[in-house]
Amino acid sequence: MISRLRKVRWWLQRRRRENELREELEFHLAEEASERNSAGLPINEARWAARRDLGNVTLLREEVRRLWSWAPFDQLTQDVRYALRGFKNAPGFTLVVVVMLAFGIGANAAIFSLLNQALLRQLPVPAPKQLVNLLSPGPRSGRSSTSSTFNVDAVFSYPLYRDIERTQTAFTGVATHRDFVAHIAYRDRASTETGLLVSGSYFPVLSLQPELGRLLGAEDDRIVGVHRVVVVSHTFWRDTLGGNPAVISDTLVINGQTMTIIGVTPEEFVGTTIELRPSIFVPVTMAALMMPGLQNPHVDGQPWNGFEDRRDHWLYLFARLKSGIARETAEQAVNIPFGTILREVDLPAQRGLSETARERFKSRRLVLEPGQQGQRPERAELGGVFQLLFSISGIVLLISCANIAGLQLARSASRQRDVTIRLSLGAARSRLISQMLTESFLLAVLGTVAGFIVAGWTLRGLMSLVPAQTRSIFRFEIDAPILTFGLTLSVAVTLLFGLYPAFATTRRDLAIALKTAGPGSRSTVRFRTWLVAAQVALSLALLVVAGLFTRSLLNMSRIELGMRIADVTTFRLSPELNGYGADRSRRFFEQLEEAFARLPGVTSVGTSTVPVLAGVGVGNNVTVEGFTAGPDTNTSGYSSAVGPGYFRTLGIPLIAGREFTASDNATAPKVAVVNEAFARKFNLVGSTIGKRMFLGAGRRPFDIEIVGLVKDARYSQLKDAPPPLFFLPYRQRDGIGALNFYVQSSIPSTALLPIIRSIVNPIDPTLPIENLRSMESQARDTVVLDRLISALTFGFAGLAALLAGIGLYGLLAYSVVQRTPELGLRIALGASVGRIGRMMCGQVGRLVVIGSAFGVGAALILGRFAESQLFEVSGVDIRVIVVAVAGIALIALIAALIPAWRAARVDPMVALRCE
Amino acid sequence: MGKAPSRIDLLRGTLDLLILRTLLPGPSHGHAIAKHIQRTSEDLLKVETGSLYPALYRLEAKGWITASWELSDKGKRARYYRITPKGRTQLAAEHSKWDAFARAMGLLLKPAKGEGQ
Repeated sequence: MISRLRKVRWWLQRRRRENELREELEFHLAEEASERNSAGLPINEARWAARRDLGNVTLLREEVRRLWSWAPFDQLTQDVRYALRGFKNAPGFTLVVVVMLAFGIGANAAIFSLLNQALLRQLPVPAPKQLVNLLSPGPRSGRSSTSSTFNVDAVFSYPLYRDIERTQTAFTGVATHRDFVAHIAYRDRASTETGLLVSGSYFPVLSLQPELGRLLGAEDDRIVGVHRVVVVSHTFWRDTLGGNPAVISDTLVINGQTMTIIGVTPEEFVGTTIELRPSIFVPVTMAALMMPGLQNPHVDGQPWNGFEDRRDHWLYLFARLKSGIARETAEQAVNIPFGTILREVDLPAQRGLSETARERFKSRRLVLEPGQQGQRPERAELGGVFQLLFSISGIVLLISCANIAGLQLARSASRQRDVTIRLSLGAARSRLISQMLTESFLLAVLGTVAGFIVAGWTLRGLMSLVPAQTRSIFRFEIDAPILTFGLTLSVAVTLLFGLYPAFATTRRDLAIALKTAGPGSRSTVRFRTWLVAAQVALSLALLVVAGLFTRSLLNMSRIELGMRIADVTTFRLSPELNGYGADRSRRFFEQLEEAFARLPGVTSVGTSTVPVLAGVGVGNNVTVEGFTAGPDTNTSGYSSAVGPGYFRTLGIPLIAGREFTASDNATAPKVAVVNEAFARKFNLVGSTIGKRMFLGAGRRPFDIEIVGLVKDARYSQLKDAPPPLFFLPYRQRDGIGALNFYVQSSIPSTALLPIIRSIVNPIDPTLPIENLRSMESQARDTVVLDRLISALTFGFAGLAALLAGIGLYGLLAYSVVQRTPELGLRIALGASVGRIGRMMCGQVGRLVVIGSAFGVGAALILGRFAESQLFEVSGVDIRVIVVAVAGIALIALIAALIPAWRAARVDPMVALRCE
Repeated sequence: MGKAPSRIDLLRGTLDLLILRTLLPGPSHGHAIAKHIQRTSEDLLKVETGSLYPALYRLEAKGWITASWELSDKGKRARYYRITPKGRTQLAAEHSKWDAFARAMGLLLKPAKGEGQ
């Protein structure tokens, strides 16, 4: 038996072997000739005799060659060569197909690339599947602080973290991390970066090796506040530290603290939380020094004590399973000590829980979730978005394929005779089909390659819509998953657009096929008609969805903000991160408020602790005079500490009472301004001014007097209705270390930076100006996802409609050519030009009606998918459907015009002569 | 001109056996193999040179012989074949099969005792 491997090897060496055979035979002939020559034959005759003796050399070669040829390979190369020749002979066809595929596949590849980066990518660490994230759902009291959109179940208190770490037996280690804003000064450069507080176990649990120096280890987080060491990310090291290996044991000043650089992380490692790309990693025990804001007393008057406080939940946890231990087993194992800790240590430390909440607290469990991708937002919402986007991009691809199948059919109709003759000469049908599929597959591969380019453009275009800080996170990269996806798509589209034409062309009614002179059978035309109807239907569905999203965006742009932000620029200053104490920070802010107010061109200046319309909210429990609450009643309101010009600058109208002034300071009586929603929630309507309240719950003096009532205005998210909200003067709050500024000015935001610098620099040149932008762009960014989806659906729907139009045009143009004799006859028999035109338009009309009927059905299904992403638009919107149908009809009309005109211009003489 | 002795056409499958047997004493090239078979059979067997080479490649593919380029005794480059251990086993098996066949043919063709002339 000849092994397959040897076959492949021989096949690869077949040229060399061919030469060897030739040389061997020549040797044979020479030997034979010289032998006969020495036996007495003249040399010429001897040569001839030798040759005669050897027999038919070509046959001999053929027989030997069969031994080392490998039929599948040979056929394949033959098919590929045939296909390439075909492409060269029909460059127009090839180009059109590749371009259409490029758009169809590009759309899908772009979405897949996003999906891959947002949902699928694993952490670049050894054995990522062993990593698990720790969660503990259930009630808890005290403070839970999460980063961006991550749920509160995922954050733990520091003491509880250490308890879990100490008692567990199923993990190689448990790691914790939390992000913070870091002002980093290196030499004379200052910048604002993301920092990550990590436990000493963080890098060991990840099993990460340093690029340079060493990473943090267990010895680096023993004692609170003493480990002044920092690991920097590869990007930060390269871009800010100049990629200099000598920076190890150099120092950085981070939020006013001098820290020694001990190592650099590997290049591919960008942290364990999606969307967060930390530049520095600092031992968690340095938390208080890294986050000066924490030191300030909280709303309830207690200073931060996160290393002891079991009610302060702020740390994310993950762990690595010991090898061979399943997640479920580990979960059971860790919950035994966890239950004991909860009941005996954690529960007694909780306060303010009702009896039922206490019971539920005791039954809380540790839940282990797969952690190979690190920490990420809830998948559910994003999952829905991707489902929608994929169904849309999938439809675009289907329409492309339908178009290409139509083109293939038209093309193969002209090849019909060729195919038929080959069949009748005995070519196997399977051989012809495999040849055509090879051709289709090659087209698909070309289309995929071009599609990757389109996907790159698409993503770059999309990224121009998102805020600058997230822009760098998503980009089109060709990696193993995207290549697999591309290959799968290639195979899929090959079958989609290649299978039917291949079978249809090689159908075996030879006699009939040979006899018909005209190209294409009736069933082919019928099939193409259905293809076009399907395209009309699908593109209509997409147009409807695009219409829904356009309305949704329109609704968002019409949202009554409750404020005027057209001329307002915002930025943030965090002197606390430069090591300012509370008093120095306050003086700094007051100084700046005055300086800005004096600036020519600036009408008004406001400040707040919570940035407006930036997706951030701070909630507090409050107790309001005259409002009685049950034990589990929600008595929270959202809050912000603001400066004197806040309401005036943002144009929030005052309904009653007064705004804050500069004299509402620490020595003056405490005051508050509330909004209408707050007044409604706490039964203050009609008698708001003069009511008193305090922060927190329990029995305490009512120490704050409400002095103003303002109209409701949007707070955190553009899309969310204004929540109950109270404002306090920042001058009466302790330890305000960072403020957001709002400057109302005729000077555009882009021109303000040097002006702001010229005011800040004389006071402190090392203070970074953070997040400078117009309020409008800040507000827009809270609906960035909606804008992305709208842009994508709109682009895809336009593309789909265009493709459907091309498909329709192709079908009609083809059918005019095919029906030329018939049309000629009709005209010769006296049909008017108008009548022929009407006939053609009637054909289009029927197609559009049938297509639209199915399209509306598909639109209703897609609309349901889209509904959760829509803002104040229902998934079924008659007006949108009507407009979309009108749009499709218009496209169909345009596509029909030229063929109809041609049909009417058929010259009967020419047409009849063709027969 | 005397009449040439009539040659016997080779039976199917026997060429392989003859090639292997020829290679048993040592390596040889295609031409020499053909000559050797003709000579030792006293020119009774007609080896079609045209079928010799495909047979050699087939045996090589089966792994019974290997080939390498060497210099012939006249100093020219020639493709030399040698028998492999696998080829030897095959030869032994074929050989005994052939013996059995030849014996059976002999028994059938020899006139039995008592069969009158």
